[in-house]
Amino acid sequence: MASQRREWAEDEEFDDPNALPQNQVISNPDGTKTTITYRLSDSGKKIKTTRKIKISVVKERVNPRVAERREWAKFGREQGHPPGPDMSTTTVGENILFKPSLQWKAVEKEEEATGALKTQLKDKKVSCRICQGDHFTARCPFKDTLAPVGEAPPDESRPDSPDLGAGGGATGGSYVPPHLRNKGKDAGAGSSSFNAGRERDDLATLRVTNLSEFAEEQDLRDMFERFGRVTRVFLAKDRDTGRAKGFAFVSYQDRLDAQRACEKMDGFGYGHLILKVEFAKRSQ
Amino acid sequence: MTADEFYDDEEEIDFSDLREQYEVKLEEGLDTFVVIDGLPKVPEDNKPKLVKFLVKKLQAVGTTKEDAVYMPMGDDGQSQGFAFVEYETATQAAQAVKKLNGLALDKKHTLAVNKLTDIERYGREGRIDEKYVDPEPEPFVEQEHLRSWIGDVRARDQFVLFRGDTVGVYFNNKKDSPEMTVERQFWTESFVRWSPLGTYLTSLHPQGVQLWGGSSWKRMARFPHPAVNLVDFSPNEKYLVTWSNKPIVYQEGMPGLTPEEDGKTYVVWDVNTGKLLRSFPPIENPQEADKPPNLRKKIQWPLFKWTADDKYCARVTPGSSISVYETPSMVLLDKKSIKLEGVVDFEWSPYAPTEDEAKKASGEQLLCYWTPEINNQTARVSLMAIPSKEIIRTRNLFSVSDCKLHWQSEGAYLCVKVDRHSKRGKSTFTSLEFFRIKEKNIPNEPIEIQDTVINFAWEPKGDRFVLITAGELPPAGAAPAPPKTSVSFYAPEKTKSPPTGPFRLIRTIDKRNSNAIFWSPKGRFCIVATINSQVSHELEFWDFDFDGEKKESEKDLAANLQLIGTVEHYGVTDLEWDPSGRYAVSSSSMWKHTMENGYHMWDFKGNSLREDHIERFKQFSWRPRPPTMLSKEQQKQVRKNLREYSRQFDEDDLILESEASATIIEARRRLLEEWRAWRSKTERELEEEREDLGLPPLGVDEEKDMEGATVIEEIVEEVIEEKEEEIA
Amino acid sequence: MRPILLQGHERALTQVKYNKDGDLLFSVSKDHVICVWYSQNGERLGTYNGHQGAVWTIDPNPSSTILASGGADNTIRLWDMKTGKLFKTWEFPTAVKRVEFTEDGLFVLGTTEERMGHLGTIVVYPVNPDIEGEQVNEPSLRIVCETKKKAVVAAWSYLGKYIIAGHEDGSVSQYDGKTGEQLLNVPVHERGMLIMDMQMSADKTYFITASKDKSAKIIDVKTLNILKKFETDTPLNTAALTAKKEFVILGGGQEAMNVTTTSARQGKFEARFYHKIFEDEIGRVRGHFGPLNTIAVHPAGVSYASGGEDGYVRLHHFDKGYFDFMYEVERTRAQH
Repeated sequence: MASQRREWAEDEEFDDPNALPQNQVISNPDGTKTTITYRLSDSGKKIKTTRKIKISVVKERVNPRVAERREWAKFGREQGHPPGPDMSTTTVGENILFKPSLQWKAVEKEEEATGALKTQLKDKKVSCRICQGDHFTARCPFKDTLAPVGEAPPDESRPDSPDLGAGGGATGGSYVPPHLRNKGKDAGAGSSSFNAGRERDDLATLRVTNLSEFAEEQDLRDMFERFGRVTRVFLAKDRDTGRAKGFAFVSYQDRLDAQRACEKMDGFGYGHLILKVEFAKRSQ
Repeated sequence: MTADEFYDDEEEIDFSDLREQYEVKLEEGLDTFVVIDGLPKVPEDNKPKLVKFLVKKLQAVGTTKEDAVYMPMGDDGQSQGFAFVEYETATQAAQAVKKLNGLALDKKHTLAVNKLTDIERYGREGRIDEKYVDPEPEPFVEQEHLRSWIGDVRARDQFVLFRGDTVGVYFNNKKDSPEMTVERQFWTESFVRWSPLGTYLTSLHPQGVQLWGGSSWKRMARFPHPAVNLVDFSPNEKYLVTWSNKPIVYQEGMPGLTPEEDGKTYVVWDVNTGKLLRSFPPIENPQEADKPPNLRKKIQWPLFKWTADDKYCARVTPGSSISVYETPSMVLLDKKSIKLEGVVDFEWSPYAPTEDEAKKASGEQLLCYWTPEINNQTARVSLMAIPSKEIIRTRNLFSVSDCKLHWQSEGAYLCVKVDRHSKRGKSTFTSLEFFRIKEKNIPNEPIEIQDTVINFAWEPKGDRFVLITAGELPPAGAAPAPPKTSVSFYAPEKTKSPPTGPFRLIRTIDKRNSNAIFWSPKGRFCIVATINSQVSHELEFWDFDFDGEKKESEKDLAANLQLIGTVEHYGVTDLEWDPSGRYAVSSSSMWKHTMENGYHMWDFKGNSLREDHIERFKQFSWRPRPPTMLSKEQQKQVRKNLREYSRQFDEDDLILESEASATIIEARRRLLEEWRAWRSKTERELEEEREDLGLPPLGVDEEKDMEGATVIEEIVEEVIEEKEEEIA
Repeated sequence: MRPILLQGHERALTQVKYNKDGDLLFSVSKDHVICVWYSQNGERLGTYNGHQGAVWTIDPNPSSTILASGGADNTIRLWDMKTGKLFKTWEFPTAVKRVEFTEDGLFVLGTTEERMGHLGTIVVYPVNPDIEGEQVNEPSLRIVCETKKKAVVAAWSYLGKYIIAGHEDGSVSQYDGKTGEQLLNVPVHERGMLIMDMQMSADKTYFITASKDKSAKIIDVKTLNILKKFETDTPLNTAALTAKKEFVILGGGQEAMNVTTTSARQGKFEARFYHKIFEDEIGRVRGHFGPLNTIAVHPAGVSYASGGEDGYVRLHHFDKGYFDFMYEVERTRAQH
């Protein structure tokens, strides 16, 4: 994980302990699926959710028009896909207790208070997955040399999907635009392949540094969109102050657009500073 | 409230500013003339001498000269005992009237000085009745009872709520919506405030302060301090101090003010008569004067501090003296201020000696003040008795950066919170110096605290206290996160007989964000809160006499501390206990931020009673109660029969509840009927219209659909196992 | 209740809508794409590709053959619902914020923005139900709104008799559905507070509005009398009426730019359920972590979908507890 995260920046600051690991989907021999998702709890703790999912077929009586539509072939982006929900677009969320009541506020509070999970987690302490020390894994001095306990060393052959979680996680509980995250607090429940389904071409990602701390994401988007379709803008922000940390990543759909943007925008004056724009390096 | 409404009684209307601006001045130019009466009658020869003598006198208040004095001569060759004098300006003329009128020239002659215009106005024939008529005494009008709310059958407390432009006073109905007694738009310009015994509601306006009360909420008094910013009452509501950041610019005709008030910023008023007692100019703090205005400390408020019996009021002139004034004359005690070099601050003991005590020498009022290190003299805290000005106790202190004086509510203890710095001045810590006022020789008991104490509060009428300490502030440049705080609870050791034992730490709770302490006015319960914070909004309800098992380690302490409730109120900015200590209201005011404004009412255990989100909510304040009129014996009796009472109250509550729910059900039934009636009417009309158009009735299609229903298969994912765990 | 998360969009959702039989759910967002899902299991059936800007609005025709959409590319488009094929485009000088079919599917209305000297309009086009057939090029009706009073949302009443429009100044208008003559205009929401959403009851005799003034109101189509109102503590973007139960669902939240410091809680990103008749709030459903932009309820009242600024659609199938809830007075009434 550590090496993946670092591909977004050589910048120490970016090494956010709140970065969430990649979600996983495992197909079990018995036909079921196991999904592992990560999210940040309300208190900023990382929660790993493991779900076993049974895929079943239910029969339903419906009117003939509905039955007919059920047989429609998929089209557009779904063209050629087999019937059945696709994990990349359709996932099951965590259970919500919803019972209308005039005393809903009181009920809600009670449930919060007695939430078994919460108490269960209350006494847990931070424990490094690599050396079992009492620090975050990301802070582990051995993170670059050792694999996490009970985990295989990073698999080089695995599709190297960029760890967007770092971006999403960096801002913790605050709002993260959809294109910037793959595991939000609760949507994280099953967003595993949200990005996996759409491989990002990292070669089209620019690293923008020397940004003013007052930089806004929308401004960046506006500036960089002039050169082509921007698929993602990530502006690193301080968790506490909400101010920019001085660097950002801008991903283009097309590397050529990125190339042009890099040439034009490097040395561009933004705010009171001169931007430095270069291609993001992939760290190995 | 507009200016017109403010002065709606004809005779008191103050239009002076408007009048001055727009009125046609018929007497233009005559304002500089005065008429002087009561002069000796002199022959022509002596006239220049008299004029010369007179001018000398007249020049005490302004500029005039001999040829500006016209002294008419009578037919008998003698002057007639009066003269006309012209001053350079109208103000000087006005001063002459004020200062020189009644001035004795010699044994026989006393000057009468009047404005020429006044002579014109009043002195003309027929203007004034020659015969004196006794003024008609005003008939006695029964006033409304000022404490009528205390007589509420259910003994409910009232509160004032300020939201948007509306101020209202309501009875608290616990879980149910409060009952409105009055609601007015634009009742105040800036904020409202109760007088300390709850008699008056104070409103602020550009024209001054108004007090409201009685069951009809009519105006009880007005204090015309222009552009007033702040008000403060003496503890017994006898006096009122107002302050404005703009010095008064006196103009003639300002109601209630005299030229004396020109340039003054503080005014002390008599609440009952509405009369101005004395006004004071702004005080300059020499230490602050050099700093640019934005770095200066905020004004000290209240500046005038009162003894518990309203007998004296005092104020400090930082660095030099404390001035003690006697009421109601507002004259300096012994005609002079008490010189105390370096003095920073002082506080009166909240204990008022009884009349018997006051007769004895020991029954004086106590005042505590502190002076910093100055001229090779250590910093010290001193207790002074008033009126004798005798210093009865001092304590020298070292390495002091600041002191705060905390009196216990009955004046039994004084805690001096001394913020100290280490020798090199790098780290700071706090020591608490306790003085046991009621014990012989006023013994001192210091407690050293390793961190900086940011908040301290005594239990009202008790001997326990809570303090909050903050760790080191993060170094400059680091994230500006507020330092974590710790909350410590203290109680005295148990003793068989007085005096109370030494103060001991009960417990410290670390890693909090708490920054505020709110004791129940009756003691025992205490809320430790995090207010005005972006990150944390917790309120913790603590019980100091928890009715349950006690920790072994705390068995010697006169307290059984227990956390009885923790709640969160997002965005909380203020908290206030009701006067009975049964309820606490936390509120979130738009003066601080605009997220989730409103208030939340809790019982003393932290159970939520009501939550009210109010747009543009500004202020919530419980109406204080006057002290009980029951004797000690009677109070004891009440306490003894508490069980009896509480059963009665429970019954009353039940009756109310069932009444209320019956009304609610009735209302719902009505709503339901209305809705269904409307629906069936609309549906009928729609069917008719469809029929007219030859369309089939609605719902036919659906029935047809299900005839040809088909079975289809769906692929559905179902979660059969779920596990959550926390990871690092 | 276990929501199904639909992740077909990369940017904020603008509208979600069920077809008449409730088996399909359509969603549009600022990312130019229209998605269609099976509402039962959340499976994506397809996408309609072609808009060149944010898509603001969609509406399936009653027979589920044609899908109309409107967007920031200043077009209304008609799609073959089954294949995703675009077969008609009408162009306008400004963006299209709302489209809606009449209940017979023979007309579609659209609202266009006021911008750059163009006044806001409501246009009506006849629609040929035959996808292969010819479609008209010119509207059969064009209502021009006063300046600063553009129609943000609009809907057909029962039998296409009236067009009801919600304006940016907080007022609601009733127009004759045939002639376009304005019959009524009533200030409903706080002056100058945008009406964000308007949804008709199943029989199109009354409707609910949602406004930035933090309230939602139920209004009689015929008289424009306000029948019910729901006050909340957050600006509302959407309001939906539930079938089967007498509830309404409201959604909104502080806009992202106003929520800086915060967890989702302060933004109030919850769907709020109110009782339609008694106006009491009876519950909330959390889940989104951006404001809720749009809510739609299954025509049979068995599920609802919400679309958020966060880019997610959350599809909720109600469970038993929801259907069981009833006020005491409703129960006694039901027994009689």
